[in-house]
Amino acid sequence: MSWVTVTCSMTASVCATLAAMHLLVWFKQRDEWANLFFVLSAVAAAVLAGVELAAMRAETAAQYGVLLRWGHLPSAVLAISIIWFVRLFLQAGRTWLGWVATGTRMLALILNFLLTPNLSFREITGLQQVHWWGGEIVSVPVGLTNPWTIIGQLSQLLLLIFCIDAAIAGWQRGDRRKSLIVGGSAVLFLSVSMLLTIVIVWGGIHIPFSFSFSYLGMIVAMGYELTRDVVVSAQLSRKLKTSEAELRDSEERLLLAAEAASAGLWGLDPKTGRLWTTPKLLEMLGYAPEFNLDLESFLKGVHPEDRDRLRKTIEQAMRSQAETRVEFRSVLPNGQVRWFALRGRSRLASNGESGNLMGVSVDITERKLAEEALWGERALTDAIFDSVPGMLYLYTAQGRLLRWNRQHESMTGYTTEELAHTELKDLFEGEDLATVTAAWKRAFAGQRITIEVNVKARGGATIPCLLTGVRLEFKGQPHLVGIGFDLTEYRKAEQEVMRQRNELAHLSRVTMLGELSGSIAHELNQPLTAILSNAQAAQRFLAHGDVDLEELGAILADIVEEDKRAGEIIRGLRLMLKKSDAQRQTINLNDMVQEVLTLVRSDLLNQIVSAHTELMPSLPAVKGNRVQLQQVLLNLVLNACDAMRGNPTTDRRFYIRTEMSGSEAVTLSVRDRGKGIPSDKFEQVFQPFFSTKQDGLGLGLAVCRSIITAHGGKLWAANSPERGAIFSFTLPIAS
Amino acid sequence: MSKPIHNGAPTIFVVDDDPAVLKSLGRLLRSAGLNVETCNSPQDFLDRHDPAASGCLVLDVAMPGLNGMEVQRALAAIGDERPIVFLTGHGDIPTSVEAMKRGAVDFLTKPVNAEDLLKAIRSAIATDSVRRRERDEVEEIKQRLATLTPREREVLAYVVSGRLNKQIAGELGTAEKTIKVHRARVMEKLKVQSVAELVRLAERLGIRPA
Repeated sequence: MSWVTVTCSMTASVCATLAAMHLLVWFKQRDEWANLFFVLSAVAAAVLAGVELAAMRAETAAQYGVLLRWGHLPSAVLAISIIWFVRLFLQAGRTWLGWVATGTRMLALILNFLLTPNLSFREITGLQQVHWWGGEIVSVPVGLTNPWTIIGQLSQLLLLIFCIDAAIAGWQRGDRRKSLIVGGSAVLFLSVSMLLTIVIVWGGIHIPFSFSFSYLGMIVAMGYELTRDVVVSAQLSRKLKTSEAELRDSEERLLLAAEAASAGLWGLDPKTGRLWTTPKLLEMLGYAPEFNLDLESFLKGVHPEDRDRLRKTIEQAMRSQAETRVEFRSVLPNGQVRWFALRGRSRLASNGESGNLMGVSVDITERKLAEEALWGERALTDAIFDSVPGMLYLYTAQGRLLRWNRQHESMTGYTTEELAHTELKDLFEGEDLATVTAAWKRAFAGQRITIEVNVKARGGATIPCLLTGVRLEFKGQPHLVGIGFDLTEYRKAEQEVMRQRNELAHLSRVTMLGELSGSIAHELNQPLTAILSNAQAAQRFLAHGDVDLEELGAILADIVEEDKRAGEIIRGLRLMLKKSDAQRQTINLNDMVQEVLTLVRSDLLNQIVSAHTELMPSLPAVKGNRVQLQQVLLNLVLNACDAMRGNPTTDRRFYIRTEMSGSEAVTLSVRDRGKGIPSDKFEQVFQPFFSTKQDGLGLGLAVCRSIITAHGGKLWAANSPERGAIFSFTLPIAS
Repeated sequence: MSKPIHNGAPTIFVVDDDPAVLKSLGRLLRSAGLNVETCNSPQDFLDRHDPAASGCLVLDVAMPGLNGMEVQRALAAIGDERPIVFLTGHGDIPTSVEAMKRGAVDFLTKPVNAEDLLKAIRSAIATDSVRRRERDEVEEIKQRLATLTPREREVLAYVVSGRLNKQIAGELGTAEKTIKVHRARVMEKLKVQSVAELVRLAERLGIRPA
């Protein structure tokens, strides 16, 4: 056997073997069309090798022409197969270019069979025997080149271009190895065969047609790649089996875990609307375990109020790959309503379209109920908070405002947002802040605190407030809770009351002084009398010329003294008549008793009433409004005198007593020897317009009580065990 | 039993419970050359005063213990007719009317002007002096009257009733001449010159005509 025969046979057998192998593969995997095209190309290459060998052995030109003609058939099959193998295997190359190349090759084939002897030669004039490869003598055609052969060349060129394009596209896509080996070998060997054709057909160089060799390389290279793919897929398949087993394991584990977590798993096929669920989910939704659920029937079971929202959410989830979370209510077949939380995500299918939506659902009814209960509690406490007619606040030990009511906002003018970041120093300043800080400490030490301070409102205004506070253990931490009342209106009312009280006191005082006018005039007359008499005595001494300077000095000293005395009386009178003297001063009640007795002295003389005093020495002073306290005492003294009008003149006396009352107050009492007060009228006497006198206004004692009360003291009436009434008042001693 | 009544200047008692007023009044009266005694209470005055001493009383109305009106009544009760000048802080009419009815010399309102006060005091002193002189005269006449015999007193009663000697003799059953002697002795003992004088004296003594 010659080398050529051997080589051709080997080429053919290799190609046939590869073809057979991949045919087998294709049979197993019918959708692997690349394999079929490879099989075709390999078969074609094998046939071509046979034809070429026969041609080399041809003995006549005619015989050669026929062989060459039939040789175009495998050659065309080979070319077309390569186009589509490359296209399918590399998943690259312009399809239209493939079709154009295919079409051109088909045209060339048709022309080949229409022309005689073939596409390559117009006429084969003879055969030339040439020495070739290994000293073999082979037949080489001699003749005229067929111009139509250009069509064949064109198809070859198109094939080459297609392969180059596909290889580049594959390379660029990243499949570098595949593109290099398949595309590269195709390009290389196609170039060689084209060159060969050109040389043989146009160049007149006498070598035999031996394309099959060049194709062999290409087929082997492609076969290698294809086989590698097969091997790789076999490996992958093995791995897949393992991982499938693992997947089944993990699936089972997942199911177990889901069961344990009372979670139901599900998957939704967006095309069919079929819903795949775990039995647990069916159970949760109240269906039998083997129930065949789809999206529509599932949505029917959803609470009408949630249905549309859920449907929209699911539709949206199917379009995007983002994770979806939604909570909804389902009405179970038994009528029970339960809450579910759903989480899911759509997976991208291999074709790039939306794939199955898969996810997990959990029954959250208990949580929802707890939440609702919590919200209910919160709403209740909020309502209670807001029902408080003042500010309500809950502070942490760090001084942060934790909770408050609506009034807190409306009173201070701060918004919810602002109050959430409010600290003590934002609400108080200066002395108030110090007061609050001190009270704060006491409250946390366990005391109940009540303070009056100014609260700084938004915009700088200050609101007088009464604040309370008490320590509260809340969530295991010490807190301070309390309420605050706006004292603005109260203060106004208080001032108004004070104004009216002063007004009334003044009125009462003026009335009383009116009654006393005679007595007062007398008191004033005494010093005036002394002054006038002294002065006139002096005038007379001077007129007589017997001036005793010593006597004159004494007279002048007396005049000055008496003038002062008159001045004092007038000053006291003016004070008493003055409208409002809110000033508080330190007062010694003993001194005050003497002042008042001076004022009423002549009245007492007129009524033949005697005053007796039992004054405690070094009595602590009190703080108060001198005029108003004098008024009280004066009132009590005059009342005592009035009470004794019916007594014989020898039994008209009253006693004024001062003493300590405990360690923090002093008591002054006026005891008369009148008829006393009926025991059911001890309180009534302090009522306004209650009077036992015919011409009395009935305001005196009412005014007295309001004065003493305003001084932080107490005024009350009682009867003396011996005889008459006792009116007493206590006043706190001045600190 | 008669006491010396003109043994010195009249004394002015001043009673006021206000020491300053008392002192100034005393000073004023002394400046007028009067003899003054000041008392700081009615009781003090009652304890100290000598009813025989001439003069007057300047009395404050409103005082603790006894007031001025009561002092006036107390003096009247013991027959002390000392003239009183009342001083008052506020002169209310009922009080002043009562005081005047009871013989007060004046009722002055404080502060009192020196002239007014001195005028009242002088008037009071004069009143006191007249009163004392009259009382002295009556005393003397009474002493003279005491020297008459009962027959002479009978004759006196008839004489002041305007009877003639003859009529008296007829009434008493005696001689006209005897009556004439009695009449002369009565006029001599009572130191009168005429019947008219005798009648006036008898009136003062309160002898009623027979």
